[in-house]
Amino acid sequence: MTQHTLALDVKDLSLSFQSRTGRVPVLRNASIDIEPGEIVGLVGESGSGKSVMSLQVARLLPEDSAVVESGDVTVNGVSTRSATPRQMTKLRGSQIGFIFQEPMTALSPTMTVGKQLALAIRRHRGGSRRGVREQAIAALDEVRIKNPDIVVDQYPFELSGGMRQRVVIALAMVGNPSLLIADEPTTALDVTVQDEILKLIRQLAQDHGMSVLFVSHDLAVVSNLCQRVFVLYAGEVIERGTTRQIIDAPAHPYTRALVAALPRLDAAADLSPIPGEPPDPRNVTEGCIFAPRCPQRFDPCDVKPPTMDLRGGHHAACWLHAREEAHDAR
Amino acid sequence: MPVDEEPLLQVENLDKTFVTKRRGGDHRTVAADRVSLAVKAGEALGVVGESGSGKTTLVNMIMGLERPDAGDIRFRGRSLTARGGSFPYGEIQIVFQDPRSSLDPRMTVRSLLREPLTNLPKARRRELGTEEKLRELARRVGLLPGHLDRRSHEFSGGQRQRIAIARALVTRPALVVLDEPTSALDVSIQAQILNLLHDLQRDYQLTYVFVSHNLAVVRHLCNEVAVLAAGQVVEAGATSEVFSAPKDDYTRTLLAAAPSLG
Amino acid sequence: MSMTALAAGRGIRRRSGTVLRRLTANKVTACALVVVVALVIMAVLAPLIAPYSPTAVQLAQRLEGLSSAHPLGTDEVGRDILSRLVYGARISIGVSVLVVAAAAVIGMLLGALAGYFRGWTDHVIMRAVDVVLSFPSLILAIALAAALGPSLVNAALAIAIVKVPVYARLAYGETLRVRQQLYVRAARTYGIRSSWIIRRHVLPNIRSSIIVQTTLDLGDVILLIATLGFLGLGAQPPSPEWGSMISTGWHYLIDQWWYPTFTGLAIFVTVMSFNLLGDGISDLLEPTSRD
Repeated sequence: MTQHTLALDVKDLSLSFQSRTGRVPVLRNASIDIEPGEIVGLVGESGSGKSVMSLQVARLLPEDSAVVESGDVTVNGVSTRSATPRQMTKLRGSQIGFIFQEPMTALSPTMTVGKQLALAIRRHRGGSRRGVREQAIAALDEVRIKNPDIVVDQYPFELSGGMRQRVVIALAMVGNPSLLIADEPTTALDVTVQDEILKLIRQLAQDHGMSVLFVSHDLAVVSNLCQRVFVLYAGEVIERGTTRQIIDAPAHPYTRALVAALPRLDAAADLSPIPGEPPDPRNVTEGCIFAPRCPQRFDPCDVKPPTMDLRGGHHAACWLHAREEAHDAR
Repeated sequence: MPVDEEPLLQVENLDKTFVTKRRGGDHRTVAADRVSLAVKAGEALGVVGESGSGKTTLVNMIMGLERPDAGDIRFRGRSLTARGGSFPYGEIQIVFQDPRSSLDPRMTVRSLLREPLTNLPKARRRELGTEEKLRELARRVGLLPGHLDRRSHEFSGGQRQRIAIARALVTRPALVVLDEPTSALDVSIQAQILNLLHDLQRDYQLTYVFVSHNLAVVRHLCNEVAVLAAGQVVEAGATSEVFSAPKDDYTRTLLAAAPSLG
Repeated sequence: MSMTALAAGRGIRRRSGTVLRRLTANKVTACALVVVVALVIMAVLAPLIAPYSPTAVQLAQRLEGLSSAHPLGTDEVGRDILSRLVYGARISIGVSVLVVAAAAVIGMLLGALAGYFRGWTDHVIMRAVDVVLSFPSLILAIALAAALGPSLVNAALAIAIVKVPVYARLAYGETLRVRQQLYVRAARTYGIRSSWIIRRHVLPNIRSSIIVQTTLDLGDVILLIATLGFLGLGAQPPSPEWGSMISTGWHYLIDQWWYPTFTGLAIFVTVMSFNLLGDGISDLLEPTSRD
């Protein structure tokens, strides 16, 4: 493979939160890579560190409490580790766009949609007042808002949840970012609205050659949208691969359990829940992080498994695949 | 099961309109428009709908928290809406979506479990509220006896929902209304709770009305389903039939929009 | 049931640090706490601490300066100022605690009733609250105390009446919030009486914001009592109430400076430390500043 610039390259990121009682690790040696134009899912349950990961990409975590122990985040070849606050602000505006679960948190309740868009447009593109309004309407049109010339003069509270999320997406797209980070953007929405927003994200990614990091707890949503998936468990990426590999042939017992725990539309199959709950990050076991809940746990699991290459870009951190890998190497 | 068996819960032609006073004319919201449903004993009826479909109003009317404008709700053949009639407290219980909000954070699990008994006749309250019964119930939903002395804010979301389920079962109800009981939970925890609900239905001969926007979850737990849109039941029937051959356009849209692993 | 046992062990969170340790983490709050505790001890043990009776008149020793016999001097009829200040702490702190407690309890109940039942209960209670709150509290307290007649009890009553609406409004807002919680809705599905719901759910869950408000109010009420005393509407002579002591003492500011100065200092230190402690406690209890 030739050396090329990744849209996002998170390398061995370890991050802890400083608390009164000491440092609590939330990410351990987590790596994520996204090719230009690729839509990648980051799947994990609450407390897995998936939101922390997405925020750290743009260094949006409070720097006094979030301590990077090791590793680096590179966006389009630019390392964020050594970037100055000013460089980060510029990077956030022009390279990285953000959308969140609750659109109201990203919108100002006291400003019309048009005014908020205008502020963003003038910051990124400059331009006259007159042209800015036209651009704002065009931006709303691009996120498939019907009657953009009316919505532009409305306040966020006058809009439905789905419309608000579209406005947030329009705001994120103003700087024409090369990477869109979407943190559970559809969780609070109805199924039919969720479907429309997912289609919109896919369309925008295609039209602009934009990469997307889609963070979600919902494997079904991720599998419908993403080309590749990273599975995060208790701060560690325990498996990664193409969506089909992850869904059809999950290699890590946790991913397998996650797939088996998901109710299906096509048949009322029995669910196999994962016993127990995720570990307390303050005291995790020495060996494999999933071992305490793992149905296939065996002796080697006392030692932390390395990430094993299962071919075709499929990787899993599990001793069950040690033999296969050794076999392949021969 | 004989065909002519009377349903445990029968909802007939419920109407409910909310009027909010505004400048320039009152605003009317139709929350229920001739809604009819029936659940036989031992069954699980899924009520599917998106926000604004009237799900919450329907739940409130079944639970006696709101009166319909017209129509009737009958439980074991007795009308719940007739004036002067008393609500069969303890026979119909509810589990809410968000256990963070449905459990008073300042109460211990023991007093939370006893709370639904407050209004029952003294003899029944004594009989159901014994320490032994509470421990057994806690064990049955997957809690430890020691948990009874803790306060609900000390528990994770999944465990809180177990507490909320135990609390619904403490009165030995015939009907349990489940209002989005797993939508605030992680997938792996959701599966635990769904399996628990399934087992409890069998062990305690429960009848469920399961309200949800998640079609896959309804498919998993319910044998009957009713699709609600803008206060109307647009389609109802056996879950397998409705899901495999939907007749209504809205049901089809809903099914197409639902994310699936496929 | 190993799976559930595992679930059991994990989900439980622990609170870190005791309340006292977290409270004293802030140095200013810690100092205020020490002063307040000292003042309270002084008030409680006044007969043991005060070298003289606060009302023992010794005309031969009137208006004496600082000496070992009278560390803070004597007043115009020869009473020991230190002893009067020590006993005065009893009045200021004791009465203000009673006033704040009464206002908090009554206000909390009124606010909870208005917020829970809404409708006409809400209208009657909250409109009355609005009327009281539309007057400046000091002016209203003076007017009420004057109307009731000058005495410590009437001054306390006047201040309590002025303070009740503050708590009623706070409790009202909090009750509206609690009322939205699903546990209130759940309780209604059990057919539970409103009085039970208010007692078991509403009051316990609005209590902490009321307590925060009381800690912020204590200093204010101490000052109000002193003000009414100064104006002659509160405690009557020969009671060693600080406000009334200043009202006679300030005539002597030029020649016997210690008389009004130490009395004023006592009020200043007390109000200041109660306010600082109140700020510290509210920082600790207010949900917004938690975590």
